[in-house]
Amino acid sequence: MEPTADQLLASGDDPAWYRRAVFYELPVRGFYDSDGDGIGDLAGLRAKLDYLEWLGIDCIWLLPFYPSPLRDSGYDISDFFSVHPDLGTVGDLVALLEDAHRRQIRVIGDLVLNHTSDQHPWFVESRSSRENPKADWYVWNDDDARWPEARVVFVDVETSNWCFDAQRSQYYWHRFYSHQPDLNYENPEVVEAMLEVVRFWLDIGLDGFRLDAVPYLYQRDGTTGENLPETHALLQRIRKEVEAAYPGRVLLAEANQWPTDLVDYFGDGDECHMCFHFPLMPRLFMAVRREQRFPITEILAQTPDIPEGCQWAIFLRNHDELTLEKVSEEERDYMVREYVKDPRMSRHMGIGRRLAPLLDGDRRLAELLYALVFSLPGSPVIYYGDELLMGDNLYLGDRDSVRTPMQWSPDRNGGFSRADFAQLYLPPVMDPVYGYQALNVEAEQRKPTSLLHWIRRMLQARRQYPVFGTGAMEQVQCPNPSVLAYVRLDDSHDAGAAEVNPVLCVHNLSRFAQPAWLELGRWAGRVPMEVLGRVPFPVVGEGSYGVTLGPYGYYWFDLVGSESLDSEVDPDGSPPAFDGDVTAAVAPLPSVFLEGRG
Amino acid sequence: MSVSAPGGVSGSGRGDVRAPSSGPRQGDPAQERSLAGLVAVLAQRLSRRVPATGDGAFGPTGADGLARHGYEPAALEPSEASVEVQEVQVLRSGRPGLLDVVATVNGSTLHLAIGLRSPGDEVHLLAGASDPVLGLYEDGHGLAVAVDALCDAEIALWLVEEVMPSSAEQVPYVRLMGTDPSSTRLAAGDSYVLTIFHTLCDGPNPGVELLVALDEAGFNHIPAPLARWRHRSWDLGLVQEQLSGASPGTAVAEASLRDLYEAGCDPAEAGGDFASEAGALGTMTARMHLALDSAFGRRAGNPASWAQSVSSAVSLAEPDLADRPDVVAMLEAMRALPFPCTEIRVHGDLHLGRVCRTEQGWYVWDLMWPDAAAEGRVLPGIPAPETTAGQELDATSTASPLQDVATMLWCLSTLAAAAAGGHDPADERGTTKLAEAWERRNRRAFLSGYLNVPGILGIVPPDRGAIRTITSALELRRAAIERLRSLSALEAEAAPSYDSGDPTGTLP
Repeated sequence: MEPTADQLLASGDDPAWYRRAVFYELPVRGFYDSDGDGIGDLAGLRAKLDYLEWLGIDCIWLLPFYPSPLRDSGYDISDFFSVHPDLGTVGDLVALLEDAHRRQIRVIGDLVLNHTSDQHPWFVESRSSRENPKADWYVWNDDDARWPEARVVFVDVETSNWCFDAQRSQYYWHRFYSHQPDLNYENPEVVEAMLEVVRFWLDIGLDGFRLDAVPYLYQRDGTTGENLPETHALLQRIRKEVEAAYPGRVLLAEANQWPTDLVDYFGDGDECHMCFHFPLMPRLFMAVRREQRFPITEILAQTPDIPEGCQWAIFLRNHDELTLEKVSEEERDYMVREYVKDPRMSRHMGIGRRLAPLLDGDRRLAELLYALVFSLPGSPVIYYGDELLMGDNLYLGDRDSVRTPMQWSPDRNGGFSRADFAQLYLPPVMDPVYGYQALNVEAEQRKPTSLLHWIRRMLQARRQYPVFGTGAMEQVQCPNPSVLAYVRLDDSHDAGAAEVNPVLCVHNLSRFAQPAWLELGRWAGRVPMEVLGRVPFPVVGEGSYGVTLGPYGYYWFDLVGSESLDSEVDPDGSPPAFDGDVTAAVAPLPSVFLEGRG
Repeated sequence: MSVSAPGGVSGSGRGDVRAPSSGPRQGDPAQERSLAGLVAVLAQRLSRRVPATGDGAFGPTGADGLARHGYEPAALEPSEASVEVQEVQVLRSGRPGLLDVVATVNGSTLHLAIGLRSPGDEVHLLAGASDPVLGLYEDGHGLAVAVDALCDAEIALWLVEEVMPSSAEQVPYVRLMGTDPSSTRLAAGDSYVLTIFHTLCDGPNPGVELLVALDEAGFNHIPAPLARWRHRSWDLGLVQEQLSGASPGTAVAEASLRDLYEAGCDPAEAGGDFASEAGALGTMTARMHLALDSAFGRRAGNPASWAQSVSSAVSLAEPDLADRPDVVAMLEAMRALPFPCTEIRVHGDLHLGRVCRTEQGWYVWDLMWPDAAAEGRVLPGIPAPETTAGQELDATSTASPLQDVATMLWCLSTLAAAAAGGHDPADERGTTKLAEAWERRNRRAFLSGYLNVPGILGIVPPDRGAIRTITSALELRRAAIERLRSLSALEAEAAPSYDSGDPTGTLP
């Protein structure tokens, strides 16, 4: 008997699950408040697993849930072995994991290797003197002149990567905020301590980690301190540890780098299982604004192949700003010009907006972008609320604008919490366009034509075609620059395996209707079966294949071979029971019989 | 990349298949006659093909411009044609068989591929092909039905296999990309394109020479030539890489205009802004000119003769315009240019229909035979630029590099105006102003992309004023030529059929 997904989950027998999974990113704090204190918690998330199961996601990614002074949304961790008291206890997390696993949903958590909060006892001890057991756990120096090549990440807030500590009369190194001192991985004790953190959470049952800010773990003279070999060696060490004791768990790297540097985080398949494809994301937005495919195809062309068993994580928006670090200066100007309608939208080196306001609430455009993210190579990551096209609140500081409470219902506080409004960790969005009164899960679930239902349907369709997760991608030639077409296909050449139908995806990046002439010669004789409705389109011939696309239109076609056609509707419209010679109906070439005449 | 002789042509490898029967068989006048009849029929069919125009060139019926010169077959009747078969290569003997024929038809040298099939055979036609049967043919293998080899899916694939370099990957299928009287283009799988030249010139094909020279000069914004199919002194065909993910420049620019006219804002603010594309196009154009300069050298040009050619074209196209004071002043300024004005080999008709955008940037996908001679033919009234004695280069094949620049600027202007006319015919939404703003912005971007390439000031005058004078004058000339083309019955050739509008519109 086939093992159930539950058994697979438990036994780790499906080690490549993350290649087919759809991820859902959420801050526990903002999802659902179970105890009425105005702050979302682990028990609240557990109560809303029904919803996530209904939606059809495979893995939850929890933003940092550790104790923290919360000066950087929890990425400033002050204790790696516990849960922030606002969110619950380690026991609550265990209960969540058990419940989620029962529903075949996996859970991964954020882990910050690079730094701690300055409140962390390790740092408190380290800064107390130059001679103490933790004196070398952080990166100290007598002056602030070392490593001038290393760039300052948060250029709008920080002026230097060094910060003077009066207590110890030395400078400490920080790649991000000055309240986030970098750990010193030159010290083997630090490496050991962090491995202990990894083991602790995997023992509890977490299915893996999203590793925050991995490029910066080491510093070297004369370098920018990014992507150093030592950093890769450490990640390989962690992977080895995970592989040996916790097979089937996943490491997902956050490295905002160019594709050629990014792939190094896969190692030879011995480093991280997954990496976010950062450069792709802004180019999706650029392509629809330019109404041409080149921003996307250029970055895909620059993306090297990744090792066997690895996978990209692709996304439209996340908890951070729409980062513009990995685009050219000209492209950055373009993006800012096109998408930043208000200076408050600028955050660090990017645009602090949710998906819906970025698209001016355009439902068709949202569908198009989701169709791209669900069909391009990589596992899609949905940011909580973006399945509703939730709005943001620009008047909240830093990145809080996109971390407002999930909007569950038109009730008080959007159904997020029974607490007094004033008690909420952040106010819910209440503007006339995106406010919870109009835009919430209850309303969207009740409305069969909502984007929420559409996403659920697309995820169902996506599950039917594993090539979306594991297949290769081949671009299809099309002279219309506003059309992006590609085929996802199984190129594993597994001799014994049954043939998997390739899936043709066609997208119109323009707000105007477009014709697409596709060169599908390789697939001549196949019948494109539209995936959602199983509607057969005319058989593919040798010549260019014409498809008409509405504004921001898209199609997914199952390219059905003629031999498997008789089980389905014949392209000529014959009934399903049609048992005649199917190949005659799909002969791709016109032919003539030669007469012996002069 | 060096160009290697295709396997089948060098005489090695599969050459033995055809070696014994090379040339029409002596002593079999009947067979020779019958072949001549087939050639006459096929030549007539070729002559009736509609040549491709700018946009359509990318569509399913498009064609390459490589061989678009010299021969313009009159619509001849097979019975009237004078045919002399010069050369027959048996690329495959037996049935089905494949003959490659070079023949003189009414004075022009034609190259044709003829397939031989047994009567009763089923022929799969390539999509877009029709009417394959040419007539009957008889040889040592008996009676055959002769077909146009480039219509027959199976035989066309053999021809492609014959010509492909031995290093090439297996070609899974052949697709007809385009055809016109002078050439047929076949896509060989997803990786290659084979152009078969039907009209041959004596000696090497200048378009091929240009392409190869550019490739060897390191200019890689062209579909790389991979193998040259030669026989005796003729270029019979060329294998090139197939550009992946390419869109014609006109389509990219039109997408930008469509967006702008809908948005109705400053082109710099519009999402579909074309300026970065125009800049990259300018850079590519300059790099092409530097490569042409290094491959073919340069010679001193004579601005006075340039001015003469402008004024001839304008007088023909729009006689009143030639006397307008600003035109006269412009030509005067051109004659009086105090700078050395270099001529190089140029593309000749570099407009947006001849370039395409790929994920590797802009490519010149359609290389023209240098246009001075061609225009002399199309427009008999326009004298070719004067020759300067003692120069190595053929005077008719050189021009100011700014001629290509002017053509592109002219194209930006006509495209914007034509699109505005389509979107907003009565100009109720102020689209004409938007078109002008788009044109200004993209001209500037193209020019600065062009002029910022290091070294380019070695072949164009190092003075903005001089550049402006020359470019404006040549742009006017290009507009006049377009007007003449659209007026003229000789129009059938090459150029895109933009609504050329008022040539005065391009004056500064």
